[in-house]
Amino acid sequence: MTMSEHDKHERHDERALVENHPVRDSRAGLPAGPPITEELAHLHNDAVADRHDNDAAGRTLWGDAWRRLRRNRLALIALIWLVLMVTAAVSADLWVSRLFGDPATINSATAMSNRLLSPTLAHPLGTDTMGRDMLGRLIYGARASLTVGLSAVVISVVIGLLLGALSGFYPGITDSLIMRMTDIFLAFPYILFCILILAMLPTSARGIGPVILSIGLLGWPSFARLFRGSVLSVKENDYVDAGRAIGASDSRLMFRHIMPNAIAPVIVYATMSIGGAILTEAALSFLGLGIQPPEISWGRMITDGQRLMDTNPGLVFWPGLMIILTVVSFTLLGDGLRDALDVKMKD
Amino acid sequence: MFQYIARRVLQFVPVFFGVTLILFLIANYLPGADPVQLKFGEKAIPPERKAQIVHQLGLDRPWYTQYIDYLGSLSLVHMTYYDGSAPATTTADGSLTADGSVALVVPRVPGPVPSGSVIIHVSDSQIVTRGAWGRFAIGPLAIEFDKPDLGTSLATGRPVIDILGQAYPYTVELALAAILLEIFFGIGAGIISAVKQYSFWDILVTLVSSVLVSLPVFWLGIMLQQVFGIWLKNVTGGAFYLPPLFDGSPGAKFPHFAYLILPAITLASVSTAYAARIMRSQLLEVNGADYIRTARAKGLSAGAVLWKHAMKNAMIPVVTFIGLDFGAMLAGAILTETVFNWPGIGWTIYKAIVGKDFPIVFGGVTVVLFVVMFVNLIVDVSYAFLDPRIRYGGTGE
Repeated sequence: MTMSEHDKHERHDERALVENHPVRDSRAGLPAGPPITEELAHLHNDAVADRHDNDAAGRTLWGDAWRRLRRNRLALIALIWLVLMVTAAVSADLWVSRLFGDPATINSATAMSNRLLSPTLAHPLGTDTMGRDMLGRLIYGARASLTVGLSAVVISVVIGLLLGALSGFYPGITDSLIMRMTDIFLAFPYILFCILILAMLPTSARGIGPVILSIGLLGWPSFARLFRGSVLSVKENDYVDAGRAIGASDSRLMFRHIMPNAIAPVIVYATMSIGGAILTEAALSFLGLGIQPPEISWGRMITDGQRLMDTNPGLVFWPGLMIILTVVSFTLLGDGLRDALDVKMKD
Repeated sequence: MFQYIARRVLQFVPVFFGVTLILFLIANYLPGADPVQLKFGEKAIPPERKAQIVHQLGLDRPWYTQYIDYLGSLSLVHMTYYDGSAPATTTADGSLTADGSVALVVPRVPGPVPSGSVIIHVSDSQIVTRGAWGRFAIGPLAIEFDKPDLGTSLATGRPVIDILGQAYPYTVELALAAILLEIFFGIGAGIISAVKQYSFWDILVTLVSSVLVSLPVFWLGIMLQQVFGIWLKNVTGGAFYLPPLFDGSPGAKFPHFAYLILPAITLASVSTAYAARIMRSQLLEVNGADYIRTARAKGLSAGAVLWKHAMKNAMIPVVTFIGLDFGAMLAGAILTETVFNWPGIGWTIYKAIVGKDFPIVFGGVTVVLFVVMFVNLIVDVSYAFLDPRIRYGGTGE
């Protein structure tokens, strides 16, 4: 590869990745879609495949990755924070209401006397307008955010892997059709379609389910492109030809030979995307289109707290801080995984 | 270069039809958006009345006919097969169902009435005729130029396109302010960060940009209001806090631009962080290139190397990014505008969501999507002019 060619690829690479950055979609400006072209996705995965070949000396890729991840202090802190959050969110039913009172329901007897309390030992972050404990609400909010983030990304990844694999494995009409579909879905910021779909649903039908579905069903194209690129480069390896020569079926080639070597970029991107999905959920809930009360969500807490901002800034500050910490953690973990898995991607 | 441009434009065609098809499907097949139900609000509809409206709105026709009609309504040029023999007829409920209203001015062409006459526009209270920008006829075809037809607001009965048109200047104003901030601070921070790599400033820029890209923007907007509008009220005299709706009203104490500052910072925040990151990584990359080493070896000053050699190449992706971003900002910032009550297109959409004024939500998102799509196309095409490698015959791939 000549210098100028190399340069050219890098430049496109950079642009593609910037446009494709998962977190970008959720910012206020409803940004432009990320039209990463399939050729580029392919290019930036060449290096991935090459390095994987060199790595294969005895130890497994995942063992190596874990060893490298452990040495990355930032990623480790992020991981610890996320593990704490998941633990708290999963076990919330067991202890939160005992310690701080039920954060979801309004207790009419104590609502007025307990409203907007300053932080005390009983209510470490104070209470909200309805006398419900803020810390308890934040923990339940984490549950909603993590559920949406993880489920939406899982949906996107499953669809993306399937279509990406088909697209990369069967060139020609299948490939063209799927790639034109990704063009369409990447032509606009998907949060807009989430807003449109959720706004068009009857109010009674809104809630966590439609949010997960709309984010998940609209998020797949980036994964499809990324995985297609990986598949295309891994497919060229001799061991795939060897597999084919000894008569392995398409599905065996795909699942046993190609997938394990092509999945790393998808894992990295998926980890970062969880943060993006959480931001999107917060934005949708802030607009009143997402999770509906009495279900608790950080975005909705910010909407509710906005009116009392001048006297009780904590009502808005804490949920926002939780969102930031969580999103940053997923990004850092993604960064760490990228380095650990030796995936060539730039921020 | 022309090959590159042609391919970009060709790629746009399926995208355009795909996006409009999805919009069409959402409008017609999602429960909340059922156009028949919308005419009735939450009330139950008697079945025979329902069938009547379905027929009147042309919803019993095949979906592709409806889709083509939908595309026609979005277009600036409307073509109607005109047959003047049937005058416009008014039905019992007062809506106009004939093929005639559009062509009232167009010279009438004799001939039989085609079956399935086109309904020009029907609403409960008013008839919106098309062709405000002019119309003419070629044979039986009535060709008209007019604003896209996005329906009328359920609440006020005004055409949605007019409501959006009124809000749009505010969105453009905010977008311009934000993009200026982004260009200045994003590129500036990126350059400092790259030139003084690993210095205090570099670390600061990296940290701040990492946090900024993870911020919920609406939260940032509210916090800025709190800090500058409330805590620092005595310093700022309450500026930065009043929503611009009061601009010009007795409550407005400050010139217009004062009200623009916080929303612009909020809108620019995330993209500024991205612009800085790209600028930094591009400069660092270019700095390692052979031609930069050559320039240094020739004894050029650091400034000359940076501005005359490195920046030229490093800027291309940054300019592209900012271009795409400007498109996104022009498309309206629902969250930022909502937080600051900035009466642009995003805020209009939000109000409509709250007020269940579906035609405005739908029309607003349609306009926004179109702006994004077309700006993306323009930026893609202009890439051909920006990048000499494409300009002189390369394909860019």
